[in-house]
Amino acid sequence: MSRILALLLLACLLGGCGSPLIKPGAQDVDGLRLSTPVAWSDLGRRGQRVWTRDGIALNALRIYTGIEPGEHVFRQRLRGERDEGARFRAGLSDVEIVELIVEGLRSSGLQNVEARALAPATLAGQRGFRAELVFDSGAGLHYRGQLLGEGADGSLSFLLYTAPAEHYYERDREAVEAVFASLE
Amino acid sequence: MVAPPKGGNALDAKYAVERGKDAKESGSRIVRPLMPFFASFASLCVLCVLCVHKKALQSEREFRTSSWFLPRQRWLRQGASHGTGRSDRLAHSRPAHGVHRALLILGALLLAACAQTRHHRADGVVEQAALGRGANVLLVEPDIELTELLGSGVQQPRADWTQTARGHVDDALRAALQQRGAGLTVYHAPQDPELAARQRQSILLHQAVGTSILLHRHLNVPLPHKGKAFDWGLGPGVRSLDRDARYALFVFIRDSYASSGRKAMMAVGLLLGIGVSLGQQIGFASLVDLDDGRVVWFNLLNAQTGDLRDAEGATASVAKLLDGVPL
Repeated sequence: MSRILALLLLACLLGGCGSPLIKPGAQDVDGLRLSTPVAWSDLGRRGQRVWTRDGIALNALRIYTGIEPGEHVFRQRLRGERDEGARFRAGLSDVEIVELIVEGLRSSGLQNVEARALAPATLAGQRGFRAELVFDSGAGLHYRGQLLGEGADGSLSFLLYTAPAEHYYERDREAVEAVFASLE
Repeated sequence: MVAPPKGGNALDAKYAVERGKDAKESGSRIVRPLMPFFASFASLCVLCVLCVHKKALQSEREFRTSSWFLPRQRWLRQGASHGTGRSDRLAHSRPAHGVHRALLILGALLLAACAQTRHHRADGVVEQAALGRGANVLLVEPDIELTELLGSGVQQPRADWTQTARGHVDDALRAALQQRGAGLTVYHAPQDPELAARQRQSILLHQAVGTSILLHRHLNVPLPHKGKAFDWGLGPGVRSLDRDARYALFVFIRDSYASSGRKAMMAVGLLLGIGVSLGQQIGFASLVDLDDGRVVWFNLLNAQTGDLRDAEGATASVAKLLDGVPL
């Protein structure tokens, strides 16, 4: 029942967001110019977009931009200076940034979070990184993900696509790859 | 037009209607088994209120605004300013106004005790069509949990109640499906650990899909790019659940019951004018086409009363949960 209540709360919060329609084609997302071959609904807000096609639990393309040093990588609320959280810091290597994102996912209740296949990449002309993610939901549903990010300019921007490994990940992967490719 | 799915029966022809139409969606209010008297009375109350109200409006046609929304003071003031005759009529209708307001509140309270169901059908699945009649349906083990609602509001899981409810719901589901002429196969986890793990992923994926449908179709979190389309699915991998069955029926129920302390709190709350919940039954059921993984029907049950701990209550809840199932 607590899950249902949490859903209701989430519904109230998300209901006020307006969920704008993201049409296929070129988009300017908080300063990032990208292109998407398919339509999405945006359940997030400025600086932390959450695009989805069937619901966040089934496919989510999170687009975080301009995370400043000292901020949580998922812009979660930090409780004072002593809260270590997963804070972004300037000068971190790609490996360290990916580890921070993995830590942020772990602290949100996901299990068995791992990053694989870390490789250099380009995001909006900046030197960045790509990685694959795997994790399980609290109930045990396997998820896969793709990460594209950069923190070279002193602030962190990244795109994180996550979907259940069963059916949804492969179904939308091509569209997400096209979005990533449009950012190079 | 789409071709009928393979392995279906003659009635599957109804499946082959044009796609792209808005999803079929319907809702119904179903009276809970313990409340037939109250529901009838509530309906009568509302009917009386409407009649009395109509009479009042007929006698005072010059009132531009409906008297439902007029404060009592304004009603009296306007009546007095229109001469003695009208004032007399108003004097006659004033008690009726008070009575019908009270009846309306009572009726609303009683109707609130009813169970509510709301179902959706996938695009292309015609309302009233019985897609699965005669087809083999796989009954996936219902996901049920019963809790005791304590005075503090904490819900304490009750394994004994849950166990009892599982048995009753299982029996009621079997009976309901057999009554609809559906061939029934009950899901059992296989011995092969690899296959069991794959099947578990399909069952967990259904939970995620069900939660998303609940959020976006019932709690109205908008997905504007989808419009009214109802096109959720589990993908072709769901076939691993059963080689032969045509459809899989998934059921999810969470139910809570007030402890005696909670009931006492409600009694005190009534005196103080504070509402205290005595528990809630919420659940959903979905029918998945195992050929393509499409969710062809989804129904939400939301009720304030009812009892899964006895066979009769479980049968009634299952009847509501299967409201509109295309079998």
